[in-house]
Amino acid sequence: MAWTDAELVRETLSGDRDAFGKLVDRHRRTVFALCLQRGFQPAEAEDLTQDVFIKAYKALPKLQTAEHFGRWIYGITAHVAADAARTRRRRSDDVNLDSAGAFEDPREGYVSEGVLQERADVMRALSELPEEQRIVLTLRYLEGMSPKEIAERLGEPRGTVRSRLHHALAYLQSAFGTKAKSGT
Amino acid sequence: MSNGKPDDIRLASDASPPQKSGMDVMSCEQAGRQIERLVEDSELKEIERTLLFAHVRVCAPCKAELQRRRTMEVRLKEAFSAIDTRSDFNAKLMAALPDIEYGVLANDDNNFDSKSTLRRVSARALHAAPRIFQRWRLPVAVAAMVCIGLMGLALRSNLVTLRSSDKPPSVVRLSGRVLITRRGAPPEAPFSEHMLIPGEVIEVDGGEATVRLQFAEKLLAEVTLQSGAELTAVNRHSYSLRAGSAHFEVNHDRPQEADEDFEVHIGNDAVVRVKGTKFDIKNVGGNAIVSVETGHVQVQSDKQATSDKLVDLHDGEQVTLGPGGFVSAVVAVQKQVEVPRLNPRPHSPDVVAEKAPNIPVLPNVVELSKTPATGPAGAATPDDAREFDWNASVAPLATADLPLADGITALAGRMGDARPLLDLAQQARSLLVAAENRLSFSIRHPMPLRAALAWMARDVGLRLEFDGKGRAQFRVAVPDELSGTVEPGALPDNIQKLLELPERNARFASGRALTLAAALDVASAASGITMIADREAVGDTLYSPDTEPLAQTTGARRLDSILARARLCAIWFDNALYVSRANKLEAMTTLERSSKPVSVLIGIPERPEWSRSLSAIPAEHWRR
Repeated sequence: MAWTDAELVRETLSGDRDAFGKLVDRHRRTVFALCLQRGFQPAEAEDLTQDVFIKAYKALPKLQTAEHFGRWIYGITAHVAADAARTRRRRSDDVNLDSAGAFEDPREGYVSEGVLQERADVMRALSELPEEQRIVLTLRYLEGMSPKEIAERLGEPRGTVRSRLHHALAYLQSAFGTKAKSGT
Repeated sequence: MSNGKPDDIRLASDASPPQKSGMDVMSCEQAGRQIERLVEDSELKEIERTLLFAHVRVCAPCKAELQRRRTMEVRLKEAFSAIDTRSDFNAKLMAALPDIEYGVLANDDNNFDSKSTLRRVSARALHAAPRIFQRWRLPVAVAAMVCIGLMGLALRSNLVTLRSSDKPPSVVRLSGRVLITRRGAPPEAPFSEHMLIPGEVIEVDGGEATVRLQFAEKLLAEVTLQSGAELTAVNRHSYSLRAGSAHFEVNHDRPQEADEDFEVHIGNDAVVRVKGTKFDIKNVGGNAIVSVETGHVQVQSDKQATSDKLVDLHDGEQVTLGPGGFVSAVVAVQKQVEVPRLNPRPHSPDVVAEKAPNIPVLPNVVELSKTPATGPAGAATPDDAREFDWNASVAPLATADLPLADGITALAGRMGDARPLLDLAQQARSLLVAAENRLSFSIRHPMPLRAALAWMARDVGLRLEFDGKGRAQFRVAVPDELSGTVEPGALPDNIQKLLELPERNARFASGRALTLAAALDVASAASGITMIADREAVGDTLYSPDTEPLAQTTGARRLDSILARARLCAIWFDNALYVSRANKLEAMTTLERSSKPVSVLIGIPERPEWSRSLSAIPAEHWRR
């Protein structure tokens, strides 16, 4: 049986460093995706992901409810990404979300320009969503979790998760539809 | 991620085509809601999915809407499929984690060393950190020195530099021998008072021991630990009972911040939260029984569906948790009283009538339509199970309120003390959940033995399985088996005909108010359906027959009416209709879904997912 987040948090606090590794493995992709959705290039997003987990490791004793580790670390992600975005603006070092190469999949061989552009389009649409909706969508389509599982991970009522998912999909449907009509 | 079709989306063309015209019983509005559920939840029941696709097949706008939603979902999945960090991300991160030795000074914020950030390995960090470090080197060094000084001062003077709630309690031995152990370290000598640190375990050195948990000299709780119990503290309000059993008396006036519940984690996926109360946690055979002596606790199981993960327990109530979540409903704490036995004492109808006098007393005779393949009692051979006729018919039998083992023993007694059944009863005795929960129903009509046993098992949260040698065995049902989808396809094709026979409908012509149990009896007799009514569900409820002229109604509609007005659900399983409250039924429907599908027939208003009336399910779905 897979260990729960709460279980891994408690093991980590008991001195088991490997347990934290398991937590990283479980949440790494989502945190990374949330950083990407903020408009960072993959290399930057990976650095931010690392920052997030290091902060989480340091602050783990402050986590009030171990069961809510998921919600907690996504909150840290939002703060870290926001800070980084502010720094980036100060340096006038904006990333270009239109750069299709930002979403090149290192595991694949050749990926057509069209597919890369499509991924960039989707990520740009996602970046316009509120944070909590992006988290739910990411867990749904990146991790393949059901609303029930998402609710458990976030410690939110299932109805809330469904509502966020519904609004996010409705927005995306409208955004994609507009784009299709404009012929882009 | 491939570009293939997502698992949870199927187009109308993928679904089994409707078997006859006129199957489209869904409106576009309903279809729209179902499409949303299909895309957002992927949790449509098979029957709902079938009905949706039947509609989509003939409705172009809905088909287009489904196609549109599916296309968007494919785009999202495709876009997300490419997202991942580099393969060496984890290794690099773990190498870059600061050297904090949790389990020793885990709660000490000052122990976090800023120098650890220098070990980070990313390209950005390599470039950025030295500059930052050079700029902030002096302030950081000064701050670190101040912190170290403060930490020393705090430790020396026992000042509280952390949030109070983050600090662990001290433990005072009141009775028995108690040891404090740490991972990889020899146990501390027996003590009288000890300041706990995270990672330390309170253990009993044989027998029973009582300790007092306190914080700043104020009582948090008194805990009596049984032999083998292991208790750890994360902080003053969060504990973990890793093994064994313990009795907690939590001080209502303990030091606490707002919303700071005293919580005890059981195993790794359940937690008991209390305000101030006396309660027990017993770990037995992989299950944990939480029982409340006085007060109120909330038990949360992370393995449970979100809506069901919290259970409130009050005075004298208990609930059982297994590795996969709750394995019993909330029940009254079982007192140590004599358990009624059916053998050798002949079972009495009083057992049935005692709690629900309106339910007709069942005959005290069981007749078998088939003689068991086994010989007389005591002549059983090891091959009995293989030769035993698990489908032999059993006649009505009062099993309500009996422990599962006794119910099975009663069945065995009526079948010549058949050894396979006695073995099964013995298994039931060894299972905690079976001992804690009594059967809620009696067998009201003749039915196959196998079905009766399956129902009895699911009634107490077990699953009945048969191995390749025909041996039956119980195991505790896990949440996955309690929350799956319900599948159609189990009603025999003659049921619909039975329900529509005019001569059977005439038997509804009572015209007077009946107890619900009696009404169901009438409905059962009229329809010819074997029916099992949950005692808790039918209770003393009265049912007043509809005023609709009999000529205009049918058995199916009458049964619908009874169940809907009594707010009951019913499912068809293994040639019997089981009637229950929705919450219990929901848990029961899927216990054996892998071996025998069931149909949800009747819904209650607030549970639209159950709203499938008996007469609305096309007969095609009921054929085996």
